[in-house]
Amino acid sequence: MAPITVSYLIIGMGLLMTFTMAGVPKSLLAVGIGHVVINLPLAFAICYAQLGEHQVAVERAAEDLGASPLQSLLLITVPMMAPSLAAAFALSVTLSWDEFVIAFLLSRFDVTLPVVIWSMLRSGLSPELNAVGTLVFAVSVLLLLVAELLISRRRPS
Amino acid sequence: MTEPFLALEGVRKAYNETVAVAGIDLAIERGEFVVLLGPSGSGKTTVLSILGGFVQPTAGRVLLDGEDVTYLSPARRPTATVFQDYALFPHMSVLGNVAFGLAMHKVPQPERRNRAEAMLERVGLAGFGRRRIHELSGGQRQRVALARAIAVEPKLLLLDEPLGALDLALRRQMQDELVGLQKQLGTTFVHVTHDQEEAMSIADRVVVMNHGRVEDQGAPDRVYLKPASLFSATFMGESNILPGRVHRLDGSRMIVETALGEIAVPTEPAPTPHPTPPPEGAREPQQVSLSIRPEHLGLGPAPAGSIGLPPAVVEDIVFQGTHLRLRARSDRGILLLLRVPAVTPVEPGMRTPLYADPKRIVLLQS
Repeated sequence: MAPITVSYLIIGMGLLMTFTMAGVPKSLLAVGIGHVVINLPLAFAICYAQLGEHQVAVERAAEDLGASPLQSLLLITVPMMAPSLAAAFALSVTLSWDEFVIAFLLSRFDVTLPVVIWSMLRSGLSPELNAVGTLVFAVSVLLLLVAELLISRRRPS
Repeated sequence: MTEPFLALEGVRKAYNETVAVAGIDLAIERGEFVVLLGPSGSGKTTVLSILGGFVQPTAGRVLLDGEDVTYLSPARRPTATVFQDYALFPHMSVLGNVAFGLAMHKVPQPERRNRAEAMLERVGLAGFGRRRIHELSGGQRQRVALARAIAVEPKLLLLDEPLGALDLALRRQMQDELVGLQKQLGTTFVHVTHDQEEAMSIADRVVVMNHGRVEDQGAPDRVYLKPASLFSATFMGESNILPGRVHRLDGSRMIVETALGEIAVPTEPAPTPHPTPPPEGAREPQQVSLSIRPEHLGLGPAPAGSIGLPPAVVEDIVFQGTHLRLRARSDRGILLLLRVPAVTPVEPGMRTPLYADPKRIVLLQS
């Protein structure tokens, strides 16, 4: 849980120094690692909420009925945790999507969207900027609609 | 003497300093319905977990059907458990739950489905196969848990306080159904409960546990009428315990000096092994306790064959439908608990002689 308490700027600087010393070049991969570092605590917290006594008992029951640890994981744990896993995934994607500081510090030629927008902003507002904004908005609305549809279909009234 | 179906040999379990099970020897026959009875913390659930393979004992062995299963994983031992909170798979249908164990045992599909449906029918849930778990009531979930466990045809079925969450009427009904199911299947059942009434109504044999030890074991009526220990006498139903000293032997009777005066207890050989101490009246007076069940005390002058006790004043009366439960303080200051027929003419403050049936008085070593 520690990374959640440290500012992104410090995490980004720390990773930059570590990567430089370890000889890892600035790249999208480095940004990816940085984002895992900042999103892991949140994803962990969401999934951990599901892993209570009940989950232990249910996995115990699966084992009692003859399931191997792998079978128990794939047939019981993953399906039961699917909502938590999906929520953790969605939140991580969203946070990564608009994260700027770490992406800026750790990327060079392949950059993430916020970094692109930042560099475009330096030369003033341009039509491309508006287009990007519109696209992002459209994609978000589309995803939201799909999610709503899926949820309402799952629970027929 | 043939080997028992299930044997626990010197089984002990300690968690750091805390001893949960302090060395237990237990032999269970095939097809027996055994109830482990004890208060919370008595180690009964730990014993069940050891049988199921969820907990490994610190010492001792578990032999099931001639095989040492002490360190066998739950998946590989021929046991199945009905868990306290049922632990059903919430993302599966009722049929999916029941068929899960069969799938894990690689039973092919048409047969798997048929067997799962037959199990549901057996527990009275025919036609519920497609329901989701959250659509079921507590009693129905209990049945699904039961069906799921018996579907894999275990040699030994373990039940961990499965009826604890049900209301009284449903619990009684499920007790009867459990007994019926057990007789039908012929499977050995080991059932854990802290409810002595439940233990008495379902068990072939009750094993009374306290502080990680077996205090007493035997048929419910034997354990109730002739408890082997002080704990057993007080936990398996209520009892009046009178501390006393062995005064002398009078023929086949032992005269015990108690706060209620001298009480003669017959020393006829008990029908079951029973730690009635050999009377050594000649030497040091032996400290003993007499246990008298509330229903074995009566109000009024002693009829023939009974022994009269000093009079007592009735302090309070609780009407319990089939009987009255009353407390009476003896002239000697001892508070006694009585259970008398509901029609007994009695009221608080009444002073009355008491009597007891000597054959029902149990002598216990203090």
